[in-house]
Amino acid sequence: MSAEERRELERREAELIRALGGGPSPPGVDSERMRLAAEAVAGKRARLVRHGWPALTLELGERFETMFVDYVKAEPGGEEAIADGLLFARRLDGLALLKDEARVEARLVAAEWRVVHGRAVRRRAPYVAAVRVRRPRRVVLIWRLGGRVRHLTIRR
Amino acid sequence: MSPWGDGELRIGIGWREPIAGFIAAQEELGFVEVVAESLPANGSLPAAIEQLLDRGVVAVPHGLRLSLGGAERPDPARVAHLGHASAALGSPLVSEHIAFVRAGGRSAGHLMPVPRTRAALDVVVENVRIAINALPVPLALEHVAALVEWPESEMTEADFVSEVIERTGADLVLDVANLYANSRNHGFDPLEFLDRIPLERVAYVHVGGGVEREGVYHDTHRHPVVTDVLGLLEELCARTLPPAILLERDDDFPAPEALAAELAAIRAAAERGRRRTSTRVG
Repeated sequence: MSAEERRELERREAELIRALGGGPSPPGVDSERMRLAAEAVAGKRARLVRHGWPALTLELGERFETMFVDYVKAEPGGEEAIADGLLFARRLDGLALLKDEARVEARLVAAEWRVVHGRAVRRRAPYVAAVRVRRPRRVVLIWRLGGRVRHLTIRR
Repeated sequence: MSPWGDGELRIGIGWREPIAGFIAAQEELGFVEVVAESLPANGSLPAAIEQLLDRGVVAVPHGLRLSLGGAERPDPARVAHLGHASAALGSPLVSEHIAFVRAGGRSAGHLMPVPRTRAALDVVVENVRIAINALPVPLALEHVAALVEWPESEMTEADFVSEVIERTGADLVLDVANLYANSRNHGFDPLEFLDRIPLERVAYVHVGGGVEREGVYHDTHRHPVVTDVLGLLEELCARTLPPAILLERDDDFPAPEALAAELAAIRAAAERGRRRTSTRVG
């Protein structure tokens, strides 16, 4: 088997994955079926993220689906739910759409996991973050030391 | 030759955290499948799984992310993880898919179908051989459900799967729900598929639920098992009785009674098929 065979397979498969993220259907692939497949995969990924991110789900409400589809289109994506959730939350944070409880939740997950090449791997290095929450006004300190994530709320 | 050893037909269920209690309460449980990537690298197991192993329940690691149908050779660390999972569970085999999950630096987030060309077949065969050589136990491969079809496909799915199995020595995880989904969505005869694949190489069978939407059947694993899928299971068992059959349910878990009824329906379908065989022979 030649390296050329692997390159050709890579090219075709990458086209299909881009199409799952809203790109054009690969030449010859039925575009209606492609749309259904993209919807099904995005829906499944969104559902898995929702399970693990109650505060984020509450925060986004009805916007969750749309925002998640935007994320699927824009980013390479995570290989499983934890990575997907972290990358989704990071994107929302970058867009200043992550507030209060959802930000605390994101930092609590990030204290335990980081994403490497689309996979969630357990963090080894210490982690510390402070989240300013508006209602009720407080600061939540989150840190991870010796394998345990802890948090402390400071009222202001 | 079965990796299970001799014995009665085993009926099992995919181990998932939300139904751990239900699974622990099943006295007749033949085996479980555990998502390999959900197990930690240090070999520790969730307490609920430890308890099943203590009871003598066989647990098989089921990998989702090796991407054996991908253009890249399988990542040695991922293959090693699958091997470690089998050691931690003491399982007689591991399973994975004939599918790809990443390409071009992006993740599909799902098991995607490989173009069924001779060239892609060679790539899959080499990938599977690499995995088999690095695994401590036999590998069984599952064919996947796919909504899209590649225009360049040169072979039927049955022939593609059979060639992978024959050329690599891997065993087969026959998923009757995937077979049903593809036969419906791509218009082929599922019985012809059963007649063409090497049934003696089936390590175990998957049964899962799904739903029809917009004229297409979706293999969701979060809906009930449809009657036609049980019908296919019966057809399979009339041809050859597989050593083990597993129900896959991943989400929207029903009440325990409903889940127990699905397990009972699977056993009943297998028994109906088996009776047809003995009638024919006798």
